[in-house]
Amino acid sequence: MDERKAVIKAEHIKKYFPVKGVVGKKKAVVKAVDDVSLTVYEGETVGLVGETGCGKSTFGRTILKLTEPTDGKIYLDGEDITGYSERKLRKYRQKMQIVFQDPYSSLDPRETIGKSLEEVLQIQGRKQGCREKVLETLELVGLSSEVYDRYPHEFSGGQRQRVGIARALILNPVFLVCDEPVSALDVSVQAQIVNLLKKIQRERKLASIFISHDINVVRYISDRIVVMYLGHIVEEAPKDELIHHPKHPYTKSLLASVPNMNPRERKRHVALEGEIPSPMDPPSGCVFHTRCPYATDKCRTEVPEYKESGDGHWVRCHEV
Amino acid sequence: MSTVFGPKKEKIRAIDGVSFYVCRGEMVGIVGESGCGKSVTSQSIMRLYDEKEEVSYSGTVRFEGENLMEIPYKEMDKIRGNRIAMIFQDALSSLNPVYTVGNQVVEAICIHQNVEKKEAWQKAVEMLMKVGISEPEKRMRQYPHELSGGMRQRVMIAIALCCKPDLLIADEPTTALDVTVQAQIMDLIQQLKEEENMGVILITHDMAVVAENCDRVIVMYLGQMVEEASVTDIFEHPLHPYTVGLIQSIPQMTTDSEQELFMIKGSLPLLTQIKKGCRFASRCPYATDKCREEEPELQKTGENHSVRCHFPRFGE
Repeated sequence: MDERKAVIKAEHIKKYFPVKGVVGKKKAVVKAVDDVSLTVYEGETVGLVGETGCGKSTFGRTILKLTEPTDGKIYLDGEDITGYSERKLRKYRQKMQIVFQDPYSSLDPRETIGKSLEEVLQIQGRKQGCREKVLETLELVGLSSEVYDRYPHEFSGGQRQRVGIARALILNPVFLVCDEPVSALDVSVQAQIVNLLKKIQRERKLASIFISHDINVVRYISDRIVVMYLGHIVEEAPKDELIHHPKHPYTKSLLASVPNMNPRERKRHVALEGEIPSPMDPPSGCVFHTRCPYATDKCRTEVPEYKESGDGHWVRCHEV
Repeated sequence: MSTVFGPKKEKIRAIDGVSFYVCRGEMVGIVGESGCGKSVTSQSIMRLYDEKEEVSYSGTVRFEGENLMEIPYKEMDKIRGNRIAMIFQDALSSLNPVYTVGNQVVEAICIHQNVEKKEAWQKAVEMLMKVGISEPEKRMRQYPHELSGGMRQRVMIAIALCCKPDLLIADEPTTALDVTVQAQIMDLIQQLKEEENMGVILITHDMAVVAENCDRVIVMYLGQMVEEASVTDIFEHPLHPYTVGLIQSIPQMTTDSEQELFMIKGSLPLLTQIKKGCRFASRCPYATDKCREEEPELQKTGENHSVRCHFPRFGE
């Protein structure tokens, strides 16, 4: 058994979204997340990668109960929180927080940064020392105390993301989801935010999920990487194992598509043809078989099992 | 070339003295962060700002010997979309949502070529096939929202290339796409570039895309060119501290994740805040008093290498 402390554990999470059907037609559902299980341990960062529409963000939100899972169980610190009502959940919310891609849309434009952050504490019932706590958190994310009285529009993208991180950290969470936190930032600012997140995760021993489509950033910041495709986890492994010895054909082609910074080693071939199929009508058998160069008849009919192949390296493929 | 925005009192020099050339069959990358003027450069070449009153250009744009800045505005219509074509980041907003894809490709052909509608339709189908769209006949009758992001970008490329332009300007063509689709689109642009022997200006913020695709690179910062060199020189012997920082701050598959990522300190200053000196001085780790006082010129350091810096980073 694993001796590390599991902070959050998700079991067989499913999230289906109903689609408004045309009259007379059968109601369709989008299977955004289909049977995903994941455990994150104390002090561990799990990177979640995949293409647009693979369900990585939906999973990140479902695990925080920001949307209700269709099926499955979520345990926070060993406690089953799946069925808890909003009211009952409020107490648990301070333990789990999220950093969004665009902090501007999650900040009230008419409220100063200081007031916005204080409100977070007040909602959790804290009455005294709010200002001190806000200033302390602002310092932690590298902002000076003078930003307290300023408004969101006065900030650059990078500074705003620092405020977003401060908002998530002010309640001392044990679990943090970062949903594409650096995707909207310029390269020079991106490095600042990545360093900041990494430092905080280390110092606070946070359990976190880092969602991004940028595999290089994910590799840099994570301990373990999980690859999703069409609502399923297809492979997971410790980061360097996954990057250097990928086993699933999808992971292999995803890695091969990442452009290389060395102009002398150009990749002159397309690694993966076609595009991700619609999650409303996912392919039978292995979901990847429509784009897989090694697909056999078995792949087209039979769903592959998720099995361990090597130390901590899990993969869902018939051919491995 | 320079482009100045704004009414007389608060003029903003969005691009300042930018000079470069593109040959046939060559891909030139313009890289930089938001607000560095890379898009303004391309849109000034096309004179897309002409109809806004508060803009003035200076300098020349020579296209096959002709100065585009001097020809009458009406004449530009014959060049735009015909001999110089452009594709943008967001294909959905470049396509008209109420017309079918076919309609829009046919329109582009009919405007510039003297052909019958029927013939144009046939050409459009061929063009869609060429850019790798399956079932082109069916796609012609579909609307933009029915296509995926990658497919829409392919349609944009088809529209841009249907008149066989001499120069293609691609403004962040793959920024909104996944890496797998990005690889497909860049591969397509490369292939068509070689087939048609056209010049390509690739505008992007992604250094890795530049490394994979371009022949020469121009790095811009706050409206100025700070470095220009061949792609191998830019990555192997970058001279400007900003270029060095840009390359180093991007994590790689081989980056040591125990070490802190290299950071360029601070954030982009506003153009209006800079009165004198080097524009990068406030963020440069090597800045001296000279940098803060005196603006450096773009100087040649090698046959195909120029840099705008008082103290280029030789040997780093």
